[in-house]
Parts: sequence; structure tokens; C-alpha cells
Amino acid sequence: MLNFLYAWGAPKTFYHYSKVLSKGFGIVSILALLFGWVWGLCYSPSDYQQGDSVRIMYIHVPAAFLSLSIYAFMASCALVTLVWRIKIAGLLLKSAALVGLVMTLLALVTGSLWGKPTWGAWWVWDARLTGELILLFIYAGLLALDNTLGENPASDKIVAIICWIGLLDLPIIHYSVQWWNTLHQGSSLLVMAKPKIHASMLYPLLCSLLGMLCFAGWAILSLTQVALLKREYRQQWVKTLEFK
Amino acid sequence: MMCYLSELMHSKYALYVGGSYLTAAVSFLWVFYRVKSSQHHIQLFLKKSLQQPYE
Amino acid sequence: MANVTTTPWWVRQIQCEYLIIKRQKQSLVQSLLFFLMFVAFFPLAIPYDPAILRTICPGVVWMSATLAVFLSAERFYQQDIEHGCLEQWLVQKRPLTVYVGIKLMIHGLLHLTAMLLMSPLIGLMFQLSIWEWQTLIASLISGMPALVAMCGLVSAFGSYGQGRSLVMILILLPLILPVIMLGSSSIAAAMQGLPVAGFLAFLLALSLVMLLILPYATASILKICLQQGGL
Repeated sequence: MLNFLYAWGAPKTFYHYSKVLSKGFGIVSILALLFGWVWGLCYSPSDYQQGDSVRIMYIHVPAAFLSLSIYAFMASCALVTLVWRIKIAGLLLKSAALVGLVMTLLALVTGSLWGKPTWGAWWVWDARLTGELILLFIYAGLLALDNTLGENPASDKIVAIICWIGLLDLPIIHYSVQWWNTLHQGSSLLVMAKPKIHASMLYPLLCSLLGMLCFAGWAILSLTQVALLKREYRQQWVKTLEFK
Repeated sequence: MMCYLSELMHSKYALYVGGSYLTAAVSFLWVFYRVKSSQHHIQLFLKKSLQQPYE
Repeated sequence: MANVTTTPWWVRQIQCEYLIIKRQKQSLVQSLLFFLMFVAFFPLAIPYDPAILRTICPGVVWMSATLAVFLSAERFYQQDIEHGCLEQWLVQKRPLTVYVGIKLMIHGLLHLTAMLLMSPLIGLMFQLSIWEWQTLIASLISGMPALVAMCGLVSAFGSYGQGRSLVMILILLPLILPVIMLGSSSIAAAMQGLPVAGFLAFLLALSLVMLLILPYATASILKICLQQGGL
């Protein structure tokens, strides 16, 4: 069992295992996304208070959840890179940054589109929205850093260090933005109340979440495979690979 | 389950809901395009490196 | 000058850093001038209205302070790496964290002193009362360690190459946001007559935490740079 886990750290076995895994992720994601989005768009009921705009929730909530959990994933990859010096974790980190950026952007855009009809404004300096914007900047900064450092093998470690500093900073940012917001906003109720969600809305949400999660997994694994091939192209096992 | 699509299209939220689903589809397609194009590039790169065995 | 055999190496390093800045005043002076000019141009750039000026004063001062410290911190380690001092430091097995810490301390103190000397001018420009001006000083003192520690971190990976400043500031700004927010909120609270002790305490806590963690991270990045022999 432990050997199986160790195999994930070696480039060749990682490549072959992740090919299988990413194929699985891809199939599940297409099915779950189609199913969940069509269900959410057409077949789920509209909300009592928010009307049909609640259908945006089926995209916004999974995207926001993913933007945070991909950062957590990046932080754990960073830990593995720094402590155990496993190079593949560094590649996973960089691939995850791109996917995380897209998710954060999607969460912000769909949040604005949801906010316009319900609150009347495209953008408000709400605590959650501002925190999401800062997360977007952190992702963008990490990607820019990765881009600048280029193919340098030490860039893994540096991006990992900055990712960890960002992780340690995230709770501080979150709480200080919340504090700033309560001081300057007063008590306008902009938080979307989260009552117990009805089953007819919960299941499409879960489906969409599963689909987005698997899509993110597929994208991260595929990008990591490409980065791995680029780094290991001189190895014998790469030369024996067949491409369709 | 009844289909709410006709109600949705006539409600005032139609553009916003449609816009966000469209944005989601576009962003996912863009990620898909990025992955496929990087896979394509690496295939070209590997084929070229196979033709020059001595490096 | 220090007696090489009797004064400890870290004391000599402190004296050395101080001497370097004293003899090469330009980065300090230029960043100070930038701070003053940037702050002074805001009243010129926006339509003249004393009420608006007072409202934006905390934010403007804090953003200028961040940029000024960052611009002078860009070249923190460049000279020492070019002259090989950093490698000698590692060869003698001295902890790099202490090197970073000393650098941050000296630069932070000198920057702070210079900015505090500028603060009466800022008070005049934005028509701050004495209490608000005192809060401005207190917030600059409390927040400077955090600012300088974070700038030291981001300049570590620009130490070798050229043209890295944009990436440095892209990473710096989101991470330093709490410090900027708290600093300007404290001055804004003073303007509204609210108690400021909470903000200053939070700011001091942030500074302490960043001073503990960031030099270690900076030292690891510098070590990676040196082992690579270039980045």
C-alpha cells in the first residue's frame, strides 16, 4: 500500500496512474456538469425571494468553493514540495494555480451577475466579494511569479514558499476585510441567508459541484502531465511513449 | 419534474442567468482549450526531440 | 571602527549595514522624496475640497508609504550578492535569517525615522489635528516592521535578474493588504473620534508575526538563489 503511495511521487508511475485518473475525472465531469447544469437551469424551482436568479447559485457556489479548496490543495502541494522535496508536487502546484484563477474569476463574475438584479449593484465592497478579489490577485501574482522564473528548477520551491506565505496571510486578510467592512458598511444585509436548502435545489447543486471538482481535477492532472513531460523529455520512459 | 425554462425566459432575470451560464461554459471551454493546446505542443516538442537523439 | 576580535559578528554586521546606508544615501533619500511627492500630488490631482482630502488622507499616506518602502527595498540584496558577501556569509555557516533580520531592522528604522520627519509636512498638507497626526505616527511605527519584512521577502526573488519589479509588487500588494487597511483605518478612526488602540494593537501583532516568519522564508529564498548561482 505504501509502495502505491510512493509510486505517485515517481515521474514515470505518476504519469501512467494520472492518465487513468484524469480520464476518469474527465468522463465524470462531463456527465455531472451536463446533468447538473441542465437540471439547475431548467428543472429546479425558482426561489421565493430571489426568483429565477437563484439558478446562478448552481455555478457561483461551486466556483467559490473550488477557488478556496484549490488554494488549500496548492498549499498542501507546497508543503510536500518544501518538506519532502517531491518535484511532482511542485508541478501540481503550478497547474492548480491556473485552474484556481479561472474558478475565482468565474465566482466573481457570476457573483456580480447575481448581485445586479438582486441588490441593484454590479459590485459592492462586501467582505466576501473583497476577499475573493484579493484571492484573485494572489493567484495572479503566483502565476506571474511562475511565468517570470521560467524553467528554472528552483522556481518550484520559490513558488511553494510564496504560496505558503499567502496561505498564512489568508485568514488575516479575511478577518481584516471583514472588520473593515463592518466598520464602513454599517448593517446593510448583503449576506445571502443560507437557510436549510430544499432537496430540489440541493441535488443539482451537489451535481454541479461534483462536475466542477472533477473538471478541475482533470485540468490540473493534464497540465501536470504536460509539465512533467516537458521536464523529463530526456528520460528513456518518455521516449517509449506512444502518442495518438 | 416540471420544466421551468419557459418561465425563466420570460422573467426579468433571463439575461443574468443566461449570462452566467454562458460565462461558465466559456471559461471551462477556455481551460479545455489551454489543456489541449499544451498537450499538442508537447507532442510536437517530443517528436522533434526524438528526431535528434543526441543532445 | 569595530574591533574584529572582540565585537560579535552580528554587531559588526549592524554597523556595516548602517555604514553602507550612510555612505550610499541615495536609495533612502530617493524613496523619501517619492513618499513626499506622491502624497503631495494627491491634493493636486483631485479637485480641491478639504473634506475629500481629509477623507482620503489615511489611504493615500499608507499606500505611498508602502510604495516608497518597496521601491527602496527592490535592491536590498543586490549589492551583497554581486560582491559575494552573501556567499561568504553562508560559507561561514552564519544563519541567513539573522542577516535578513539585521538588514530589515536597519532599513526599517532608518526609513521610519525619515518618514516620521516628513509627517509634520503631511499633517500640514491634509490639515490633520494633533491627535490625528499622533495616530499617523503611531500607525507608521506599528506597521513599519510588517511592511519592511514583506518587502524584504518579495525582493529576495528579484535579487539576481533585472525587470522583476512588477512581479514583486504584484505579489506584495495582496499580502500586505491587512497592514495597509489597518494603518489607514486607525487614522480614519482618529478622525472620527473613535478609539484607535485596537487598530494599533492589531497592527503591532501583525508586525510581530511577520517579523517572526518572514525573515525565515526570505532566507530560504536567498539560499535557493545562491545555490542556483542565479535565477
